[in-house]
Amino acid sequence: MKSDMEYEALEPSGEFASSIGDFRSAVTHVAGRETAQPVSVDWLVPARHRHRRAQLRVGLGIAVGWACAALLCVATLPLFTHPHHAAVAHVVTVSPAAAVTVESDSALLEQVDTNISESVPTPLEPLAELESWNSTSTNTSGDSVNGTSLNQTEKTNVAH
Amino acid sequence: MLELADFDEVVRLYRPRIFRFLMASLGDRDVAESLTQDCFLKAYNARNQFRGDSSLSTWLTRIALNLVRDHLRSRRMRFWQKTRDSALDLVDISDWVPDTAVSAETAVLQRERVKDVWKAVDQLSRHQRMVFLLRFVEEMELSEIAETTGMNTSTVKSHLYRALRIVRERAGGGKE
Repeated sequence: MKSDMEYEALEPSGEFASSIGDFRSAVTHVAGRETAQPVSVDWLVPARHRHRRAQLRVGLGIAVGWACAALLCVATLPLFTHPHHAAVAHVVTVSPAAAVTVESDSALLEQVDTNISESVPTPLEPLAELESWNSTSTNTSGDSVNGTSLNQTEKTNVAH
Repeated sequence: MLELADFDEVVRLYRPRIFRFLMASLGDRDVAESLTQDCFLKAYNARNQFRGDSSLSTWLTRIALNLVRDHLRSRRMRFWQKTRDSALDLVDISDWVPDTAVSAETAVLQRERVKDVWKAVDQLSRHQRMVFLLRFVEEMELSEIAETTGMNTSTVKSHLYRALRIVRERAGGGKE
């Protein structure tokens, strides 16, 4: 049953079958007319030429491909060797640079320390006296006394 | 194995059939003639490989199918696509319906039908067109088509079913 249905689906009938039959007749007629003449002895010569040309093209293509690959290798060889040297140089030069940086950092810190520990400039001289006074009072009367005296000094300064 | 003396006979017998298939597949007489030559040259060069496992017709058609596939893939195909309008056109083939003892009205109707089917076949996919032509122009059995194309029979049926549906819809042969 199923195979009958399949056969019907794959086998045209009626007007459609006639159309396909006419199509086949037309194609066969054209092909028959085109191939009515018997072939000559050199009928396959053009095909041989095409075949040779195709082989030549393939050979030429392979040769060009290899040549391009070789050129590419030669051209990119410096790119493969150069980074190695650059990396070595980089490794060599990185250490001194780091050392110089560390040295310059420590020098800078020393300079900062020196500048901070320099004597107070003249316009700020009273403040320096106050600081020295504060340090003496801390030594004598403790933290709470120091806090009070600082407040008093500030009040005095504000009043002035 | 094919002998050289036999090959002339092979060409004489099978050339019209191979040319017909190639012309129907590609729609161009010149290309079909060139590929027919290529097909027989390939067959001649590979004649030692023909063991007779399949029929000679199947073997030659398989070579022709490969040539069509290569041709459609090649760059020459683009050139052919551009110039196909100047090749074998639809009107030409519909004019070549063989004259039979029919009325003028019937002859016109036949030409119209052929024209519609040709146009519909031209719009099929490569596989659908191949299976359709092998079945209805070369009149091969489904198993032969499967053997020639290397597809299994179910795939052949599937392509044929779709091809028939499309041709029926586009060629207007719905009235059965």
